[in-house]
Amino acid sequence: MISLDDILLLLLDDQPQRPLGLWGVITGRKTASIMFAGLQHQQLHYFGLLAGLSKPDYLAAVQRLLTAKLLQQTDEQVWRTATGRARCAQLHGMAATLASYDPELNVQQFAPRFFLAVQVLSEASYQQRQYVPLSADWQVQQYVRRWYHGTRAELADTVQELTVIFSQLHPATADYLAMLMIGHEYVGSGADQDSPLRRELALCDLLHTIESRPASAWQRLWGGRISLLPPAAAQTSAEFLRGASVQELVARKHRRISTITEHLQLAAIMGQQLPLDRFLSVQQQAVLATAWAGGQRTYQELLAALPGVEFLQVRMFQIMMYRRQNNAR
Amino acid sequence: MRAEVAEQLHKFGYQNLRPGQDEIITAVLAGRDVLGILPTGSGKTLCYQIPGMLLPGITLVVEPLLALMREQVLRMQASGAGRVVALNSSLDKADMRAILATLATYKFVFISPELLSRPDVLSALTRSPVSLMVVDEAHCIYQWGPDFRPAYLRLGDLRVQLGSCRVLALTATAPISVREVIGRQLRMQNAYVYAASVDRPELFLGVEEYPQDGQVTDRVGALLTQVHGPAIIYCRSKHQTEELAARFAHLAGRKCNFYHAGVDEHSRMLRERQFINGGLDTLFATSAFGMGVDKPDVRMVLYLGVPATLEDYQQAIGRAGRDGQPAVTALIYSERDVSRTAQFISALPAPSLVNAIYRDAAGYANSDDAQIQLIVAYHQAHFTPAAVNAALSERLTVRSKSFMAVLDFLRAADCHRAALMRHFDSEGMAHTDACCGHVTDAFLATLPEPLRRSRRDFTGWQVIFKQIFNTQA
Repeated sequence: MISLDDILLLLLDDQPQRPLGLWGVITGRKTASIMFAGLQHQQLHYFGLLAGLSKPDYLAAVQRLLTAKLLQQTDEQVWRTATGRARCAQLHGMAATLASYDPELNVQQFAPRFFLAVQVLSEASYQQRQYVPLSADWQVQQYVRRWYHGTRAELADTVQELTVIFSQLHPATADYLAMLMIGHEYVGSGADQDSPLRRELALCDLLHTIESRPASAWQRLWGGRISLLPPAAAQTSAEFLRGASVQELVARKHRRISTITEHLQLAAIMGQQLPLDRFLSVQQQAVLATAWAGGQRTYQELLAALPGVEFLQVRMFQIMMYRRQNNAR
Repeated sequence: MRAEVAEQLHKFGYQNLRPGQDEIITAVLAGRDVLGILPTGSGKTLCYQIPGMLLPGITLVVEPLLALMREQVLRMQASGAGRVVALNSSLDKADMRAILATLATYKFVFISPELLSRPDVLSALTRSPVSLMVVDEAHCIYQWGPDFRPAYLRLGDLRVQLGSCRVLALTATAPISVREVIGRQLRMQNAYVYAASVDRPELFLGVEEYPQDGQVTDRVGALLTQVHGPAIIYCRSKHQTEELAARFAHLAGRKCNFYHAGVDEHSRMLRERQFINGGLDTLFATSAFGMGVDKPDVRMVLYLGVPATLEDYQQAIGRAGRDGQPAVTALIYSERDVSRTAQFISALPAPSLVNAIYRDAAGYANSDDAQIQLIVAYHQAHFTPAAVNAALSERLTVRSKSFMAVLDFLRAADCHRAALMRHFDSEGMAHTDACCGHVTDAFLATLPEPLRRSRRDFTGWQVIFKQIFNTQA
């Protein structure tokens, strides 16, 4: 049984953070401030992990961890206690399970397509054309219909591919996923052991295996990894890299300056290489680097080291430094 | 029965029509406006499915609930009813445009009444030939009814804009006063009215009151032990469904689970299918369960607590005994339940909730809360927040009246069934020992034993793959 309290304890940091920062990351809220908090505390890997987790349920779990003294708090920030860190060490198995999650796999979109595709192939295996589809979603049905039309001539091969893919999974994962399927005269089993998170992680394992077979029909069903960067932000970033300034982008796109700076921050957080020279001079970067080396991390501390610069300039510096730090680990 | 009707009937896998279906289908095919009042589970869908296959052009089906729409689309796709689509708020802009551009290629179009008012949707429909407009759950048009939806008031005008195609209004609950309103609002001309009795003589209408909540739970356990066969237990809350499913998880001879809107979609789908298939035989559920579930052999439906309306109660118990065999239903409540429901119906949504919904109506569009759904519906019908607050205050009277009808039913001295039939202006069977009251062992002894189906145990993914992909050899 995957416990929410244990998951949150694993994901929270040994450094103080606002608890709602983590909630924003794991429920998939794509704002620059949420994503920056995720970058700071190395939590971006879990972006969207618990998309359906309500704020009250999350805060109740945090409170339980505080009551159990696995977390401590001051002002509006929480972080792990020594007891909390010891508990994390015991949860290494769960940590390994969570590691299979990858937001770029787009598992939430893949899941309904996969289960409907299995049902379609199953009924086709019995030449059954009339059955109640397990998804009424128009988009899912259209997508799987198109995929099936490209696949039905090789029905047996497609089934065989899936069999090979499943044979490469951990047996418990393969068994579990099969229990969630719907097919001809089969409606799954063991539903009482099901949970959305367990299902999501098992599907991530499946997708890692599908990814290693680029020519398979199941790769075509999946469609490949996605970029987490919203299209508008990607476009802003591309034009910035082609030389447009922030002011030019504001004028060209008829957007507020806060929107453009939000786009640039998101792009940088998600790995786009936006040259720091476009934001800070060499001298300015050196001043901030000295402050950083002295342990100054917050916006206020860095601004104090370099008064007069703007928020975006400091923030882009912070993003670059945190990315370097995280990549080095 | 006409030959072409029989042909379609057989294509859908049926041999015979049920009472009322032939009359309604004949009247629709003759070009008449029709109001059909049929009890739950009596096959309202075929009343438009068969004419829809025989008439040219589109059959437009207006549904009040997203969940109901989805279930109908799935059933019709399963029965091979031609191209079917549901137009609702869950479609993104690109998908909606794609569907509207090819609308004339669909045979059945399901739509919410709010979406029907949208200019782009109306424009696409006027360009496509609509032969039949079906207004399902037509009682939602009645402003003083508990299920009122403001957008239903516009359906008469919209029908004219669509070329005044014939209309078929269907409902399971329509007292005489409501029938007149339906006919007037939909601008029906010389309508054929088929009003079957909403009575279900094969159902025992149990009504049992206990002093304490704990005694209600004990009674549930006793009935689950005595009655064999699939059972649905409608609970007051999501929490109660989980609590009772855990409490009775190890009851001998029963495989239990819970179902409510807080369960994720895939798990809900699995539990529903397993209940239909027999893998589960006991579901503790909220009213989120059951829409479109057509399982013939449900032997027992329990309703825990006091419903706010008799319509809710009637719909819940209507899921029992659809095979026509005796089935037991029981409304089991404690003294506290009466005051719980009384408090619930007298609570008005705060103006701050109305304002929050108006600021982000799209964000609340898929809420399963009835009050929120109603406010969203008012928003889509272009009411101002002030008008909504006024309308909600007025509806307190409606809700109180509905609740009084429930209390009359609970406290009926002579016959609960007679009280229920009076509420729906319907005929019912004469009172007997097998009619209503406290559920007796004598009645339970008349229940048919469930068919014993051999169940395969599927252990391991390889065995499951052999089954689902037909690779047994």
